[in-house]
Amino acid sequence: MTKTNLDKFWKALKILKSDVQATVHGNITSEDDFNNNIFWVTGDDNGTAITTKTNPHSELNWAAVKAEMDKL
Amino acid sequence: MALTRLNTNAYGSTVNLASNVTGTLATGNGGTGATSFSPGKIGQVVSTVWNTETSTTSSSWSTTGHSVTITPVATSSKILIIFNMADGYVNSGNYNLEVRPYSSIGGATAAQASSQTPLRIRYNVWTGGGGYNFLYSPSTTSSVQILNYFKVNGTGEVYYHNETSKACSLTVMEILA
Repeated sequence: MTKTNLDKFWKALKILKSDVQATVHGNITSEDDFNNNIFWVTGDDNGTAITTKTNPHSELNWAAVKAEMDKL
Repeated sequence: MALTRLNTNAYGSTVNLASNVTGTLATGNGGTGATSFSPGKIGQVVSTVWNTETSTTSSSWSTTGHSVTITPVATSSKILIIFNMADGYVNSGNYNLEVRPYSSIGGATAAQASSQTPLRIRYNVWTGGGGYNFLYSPSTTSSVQILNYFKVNGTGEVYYHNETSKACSLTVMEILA
């Protein structure tokens, strides 16, 4: 079930970095998904999020996130 | 049944109704009885559906990716936005899901179409449907892309759309002046 997998993804993300902000379009089941489906929030412009698909968090790589997801 | 006969000999072989018939054509003669005609006000309708899982932890407005585009025929037209959320989800905790329409006119950077939030899900643990209606006056004949943005009010993750087997819809109608 999608929700279960995404629940794990968000929980893993918060374990690794509790205050991270991002938007996900689609599911995160592979490294490709991790690289392409996440819009990382890097700032705020009058209430609208400034986002990038380039991961600005070095500690949040696919291997680390996947390892945490597999523990859940 | 009332019947009106036109003597075509008096007007030639063809009767020009525009110049030779005045006043109201009675209903008994097949007319409407109306003295004027008011055309319909719905100019066009466009709709899109969305079934991609979409979630965020952003506390600033972030695009859901769900949009619909319409090009009004007149600057006096209004756009009625109708959104139906099929499967939103607030995971847990004391925070809220909010949805607000943005617009991109003529391909410009999207800006808030409404300064207020028309949809807010306030429950601690919630999943299900919702929606909003919003009457927008863009005053343009350029293309208008309506995009739903969302955010979490608080700290946690919220889902604009949860499962691919469901679909939410975003419909826009051009309301003529």
